[in-house]
Amino acid sequence: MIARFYLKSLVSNRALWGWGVGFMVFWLFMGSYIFGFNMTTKIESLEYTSVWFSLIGLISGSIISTTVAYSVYYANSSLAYSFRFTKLKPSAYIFNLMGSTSVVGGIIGAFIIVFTVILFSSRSGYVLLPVYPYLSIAMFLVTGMFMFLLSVVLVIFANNYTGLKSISFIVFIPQLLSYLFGFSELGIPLPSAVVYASPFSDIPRLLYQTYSGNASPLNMSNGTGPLLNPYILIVSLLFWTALLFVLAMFLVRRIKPRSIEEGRQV
Amino acid sequence: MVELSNVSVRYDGRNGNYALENVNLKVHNEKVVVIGPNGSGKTTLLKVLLGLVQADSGQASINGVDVRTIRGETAVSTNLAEVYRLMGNTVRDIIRLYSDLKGSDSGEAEELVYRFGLEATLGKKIHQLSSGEQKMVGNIMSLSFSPSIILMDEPFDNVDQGRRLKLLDIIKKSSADIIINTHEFDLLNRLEDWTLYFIIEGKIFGKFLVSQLKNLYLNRGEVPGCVSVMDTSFGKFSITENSGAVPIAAARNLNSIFDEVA
Repeated sequence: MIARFYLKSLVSNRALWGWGVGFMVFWLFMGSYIFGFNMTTKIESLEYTSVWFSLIGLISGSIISTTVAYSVYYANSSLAYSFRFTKLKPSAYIFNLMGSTSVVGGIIGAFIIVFTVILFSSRSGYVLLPVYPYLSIAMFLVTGMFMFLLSVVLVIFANNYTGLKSISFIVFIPQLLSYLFGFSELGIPLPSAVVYASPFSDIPRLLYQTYSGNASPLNMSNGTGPLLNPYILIVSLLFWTALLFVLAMFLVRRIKPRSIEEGRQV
Repeated sequence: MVELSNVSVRYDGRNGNYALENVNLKVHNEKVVVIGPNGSGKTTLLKVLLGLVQADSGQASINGVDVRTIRGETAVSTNLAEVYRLMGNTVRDIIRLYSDLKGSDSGEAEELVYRFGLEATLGKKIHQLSSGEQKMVGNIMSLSFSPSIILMDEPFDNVDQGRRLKLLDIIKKSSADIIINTHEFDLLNRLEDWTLYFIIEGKIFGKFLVSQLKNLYLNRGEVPGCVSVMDTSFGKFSITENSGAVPIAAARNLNSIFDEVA
C-alpha cells in the first residue's frame, strides 16, 4: 500500500510535472526547432534526435531525484517514528518507494518519447520513432530506481552526519552531475573509462542506443570515436544501482529525526 | 508501560542548557497530565519517549524495551504532526496509509474526522490545513488504530471550544495509558482522576492528582511543610497543600502564576 500512496504522491506533484516534463519539452523544442537542426538524411536526423533524447532523459531522471530527495528529507521524523511504532520496515520502505519512483520514471519517460517523436519528426520531415521503445521505457524504469537510491543516500547521509543548512544544495547534486556529464559530453569528449564508469554517462549512452538502434560512439557530439560496448554500460549502471541500494539500506536503518526547520535557516 | 529513568537532554550537546534534567517518570495503567510553562521541556519529554530526541543520559523505555531499539510496536501513538509526513498525501490518504502501517482499519479515524466536522480536510494536504486543523488531524491519528499508549502534545492548542469538549470526552473514554502535555489549566477540572506532574525548566515535580489541584498553592521560597520544592533559574518555589501564597487552580496557566508569585 505504501508504494501506491507514494506513486500517488509523486504523480500529483505539480513541480515534478512542470520541471520533469514541461521544462524538458521546452528543451526538446529548443533542440528540434531553435538549435541548428541541419540534418539532411533520416539516419542523421535519428542520430541527432537520439542525442537530445538521451540528454533530456538523463536530466528528467535527475529532476525526479530532486523531488524524491525533498520528500525523504521532510519524512525524516516520520521514518524514525514509523520504524519504531508501525509495521513499516526499512527494507519495505526502500523497495516500495524505489518501485514507485521507477514507475514514475517510466511514465515521464513515455511522455518524453512521445514529445521527442512529435517535435523532431515535425521538424525533420521524417518519422523519427525510437528503434527499441520498450527498451527506452525499461531504461527510464532503471533510471528511476538509480535516481531514487541516489537521492536517498545523499539526503540521509546529510541528515544523519552533517548540518542541514546544505540540504538545499544536496538535493540538487544529481541534477548538477547530470548537467555536468550531459553537457560536457557534447563539448569535451570524455575518456572511455570515465564514460563506462560514470552512471551519469551510462544512462544517456544506453538511452541513445535504445532510440537510435546503434551503439553510442565515444564522441556523441559529432558521432566519431569507437563505439561503446552496451553490456559494459549496463553492468556499470547496475553496479552503481546495487551499491547505492546497499548504502540506502544501511543509512535508512539509522535515520536520525531532525527538525526540518534547520534546513530552512540561512 | 512508559518509563523514563534519570533522563537528561541538553540543547546543543553536552555544554548546553538542560531541556530535561534527571527526569524519572513511570506511567502504567493510568492517565497523566504534565503541565508546565512554554519551553519547560514538555514536548522534549514526549519526543524522548518516541525516539525522536535522543537522551544524553538515562533511559526511556516502552513496555520494558529501550525506545532506541524498539521496532514494530504499533500500540503506541502520538499527535505530533511531524510523524505523519511520510509523504505528501491528502489527509484521507494519510489516514489510510497509517491505518495500514498500524495493521488496523481506517474506519475509526474517518469516523472521528466526521464527528469533529473536519470532512473538508480529507481532500487537502497537511500543509494546506490551518494550525488548528493540523492539530486535530494529529489528535485523531493518535486516538485511532487501537493504541494502548497515547502521547499527546498540547492537544487543545488552537482548537475551538466545541471541539475541545468533544476531544476531551473521547480522551476520557479511552482505555489507553495517556500522557497529555499542556500549559493550560482550564480543562483540568474535567480530568480529576488523572495523575498530575509539573514540569519546570526540564525538571519534573509530582506526583499529584488533578483533584488535588484546587488545594495546592504556590509559594516563593521553600516553605516548611511543603509537598514539593521547585528550584528554578528565577528562584526557589514550593507547593503547599490547603494554604499558601497563590492558589494554583486560580491561574489560567503556569506562565502567569510564576509571574504572580514572583
